[in-house]
Amino acid sequence: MAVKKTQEEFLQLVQTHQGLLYKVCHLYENNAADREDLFQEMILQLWKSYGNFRGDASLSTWIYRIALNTALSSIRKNKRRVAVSYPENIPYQVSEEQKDNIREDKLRFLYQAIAGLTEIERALVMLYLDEKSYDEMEEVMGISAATLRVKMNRIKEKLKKQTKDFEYGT
Amino acid sequence: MELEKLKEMLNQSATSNNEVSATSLQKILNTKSKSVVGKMKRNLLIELSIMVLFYGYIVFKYFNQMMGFIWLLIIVELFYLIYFLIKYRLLNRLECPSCEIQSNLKQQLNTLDRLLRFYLWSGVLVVPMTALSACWIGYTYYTSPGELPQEPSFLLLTSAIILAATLLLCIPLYFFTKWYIRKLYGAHIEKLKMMMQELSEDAPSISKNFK
Repeated sequence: MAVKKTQEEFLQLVQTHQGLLYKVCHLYENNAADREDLFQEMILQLWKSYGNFRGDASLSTWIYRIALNTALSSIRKNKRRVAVSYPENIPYQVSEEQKDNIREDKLRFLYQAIAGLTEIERALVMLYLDEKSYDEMEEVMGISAATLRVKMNRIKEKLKKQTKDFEYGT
Repeated sequence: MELEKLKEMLNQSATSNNEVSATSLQKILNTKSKSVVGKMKRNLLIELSIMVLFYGYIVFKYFNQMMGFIWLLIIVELFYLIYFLIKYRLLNRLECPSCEIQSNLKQQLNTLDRLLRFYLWSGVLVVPMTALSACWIGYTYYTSPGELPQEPSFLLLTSAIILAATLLLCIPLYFFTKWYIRKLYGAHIEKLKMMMQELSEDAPSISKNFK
């Protein structure tokens, strides 16, 4: 009975935060099947760790750690690529949603640029996109806020340069 | 800036289009992990079950008939249990998904190094042990009296020759296993090292064995 209740609580928690998990999947996997596998693995890892969650870190920090650790450090066959083909880079949901071509192109450029980042840089972009403070990012990543600031500025510059290059076809 | 636009679009897409029902999530909880660590743990448990069942059956069947052989099996089984415990403990320590990213990567790199060294040496050392045991079983139970000399000097010399031959075999086996490990895990270790270097200046160094 207690287990069932815990499982219900867990399912509710995942349902509330599944958007976060999907965002991580979108940034680390390029096709729907791989994203589904990663999502499934994240859920299993979350469930495995759920019993040990004592609230030392905030819930979203805890979920982020597990989601990013699963995406970053799982030993898998070498199927993750840094550079991927043009249409594959856009999350299909986003792509289908976009009616405005200019907007879609910009998004495509940006996704392509993000795919060119290292896996750690993508994790930082992910946290930045989710409006995490540098202190929260420090809690997830385990590196100092000062270092994170420097890294984040570098990433922004890199993305800016890359999206410009894509736009102008250089 | 573009990143701000992406933030808005990503949030929108992630919240509106990816609703997974509680039933689907429940189904996921009933599936098995596809991660390599998960598979390794499952394989190790299957291996343990086979070992216990097989050895248990042999011990039960030949008990009181071939006592020396039975004792040998019990000793081998004890060694296997030690092997199992060490490997299982290392596999458990290989993942700390709720840890900070940096400490998890560090832990994974260190544990993987230990696990692979353990895999290498246990794989290599099992060869002379198996050869000696097989020869001893053959000599004790499958030779007729008088077929082979019984003098201690003969036994010592034969054992020494077998041991030397298997140790010689261990040399290419050592290099082959090392090559195989590098082929299996080399890319992953490199990836972990690169990520560690990116996160900190003082990444732990992986043992020279697997570089």
